[in-house]
Amino acid sequence: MTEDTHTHEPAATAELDCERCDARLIDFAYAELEDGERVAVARHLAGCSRCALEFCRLKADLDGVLEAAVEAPPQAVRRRIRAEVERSFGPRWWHQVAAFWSRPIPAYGVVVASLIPVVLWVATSLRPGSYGGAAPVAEVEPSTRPPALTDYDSMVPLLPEDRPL
Amino acid sequence: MSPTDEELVRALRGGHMDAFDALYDRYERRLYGYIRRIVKDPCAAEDLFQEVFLTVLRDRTYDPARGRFAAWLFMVARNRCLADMRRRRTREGLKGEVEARWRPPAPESPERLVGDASRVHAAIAALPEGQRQLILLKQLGELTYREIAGLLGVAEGTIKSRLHAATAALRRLLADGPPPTKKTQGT
Repeated sequence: MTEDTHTHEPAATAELDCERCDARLIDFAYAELEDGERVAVARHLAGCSRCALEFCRLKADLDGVLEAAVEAPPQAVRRRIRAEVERSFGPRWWHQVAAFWSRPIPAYGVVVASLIPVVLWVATSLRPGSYGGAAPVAEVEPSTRPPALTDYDSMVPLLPEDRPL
Repeated sequence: MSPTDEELVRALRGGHMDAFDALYDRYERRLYGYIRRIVKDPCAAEDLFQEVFLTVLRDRTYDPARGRFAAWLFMVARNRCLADMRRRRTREGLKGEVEARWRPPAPESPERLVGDASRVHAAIAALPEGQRQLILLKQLGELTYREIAGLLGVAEGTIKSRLHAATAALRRLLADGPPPTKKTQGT
């Protein structure tokens, strides 16, 4: 066995002996040690070739597990999930409208463009005699106005010509 | 700096599909690998993968402030996988037993003996269920002892000692090879 190598290099590994380092090696590999212990193990590994070799073997085994275990699903699965997620979370038409309006330049452009026909229509309607505008009312002399008819009844016979109203 | 998972979940809920792509790219290989190591059937693994991903993303009860997305994702995956295994066992229990008793044993796959990945797969498969779960949650899920303890409902110290034992067992299996499969042929 290599027990003799456990006791060498005392200067470099004064804070942590090989036995205590070995007990912490798995936690060290899993990155689960507190800062102080992590530094102590790292310092020990830097000074002890046997523990460093043991750590390399452990890390290789764990990395091998990770490499062998990961696996990509087929692309069709991604497309299916994306379609479902898009249905649930994808941007709705009102989100798109809100996003559009939140951008200043296009929003102001659209406002100006939509106001142009309104302004033109108002301008042309205010001009006299133009299309769509109200025709000017002709002033009528008060003397030429027809007499106002009151209490008109179609069943009453017409008055004779000579009879004054 | 790349956004955290929790930020991506928030962005996805706000309708940003880019966040989905980022989350998917981050977890597809690890999550699918985890499910595949537990559920052997690839078709069932695909269905479970899709189900888990959609469940986690659609579940509005997940609060990013309460814990990491990875822990939540792998907790849902573990529960779904175990439920699926139980369902399969119940459904195929008696049928499988009868078939296994009368069917000649399958020849040793060459993949089982050749290649590092196959050796690792065989070693993982040979681990007891509990130890396999711990190794996979730690390596693929990248969960902390605390997160695994919360997921399994046991003390953190218990997880630490169990994971030490599981790691040692896995390394023994990697070094010596998994034990030969039991011949279940009837006499």
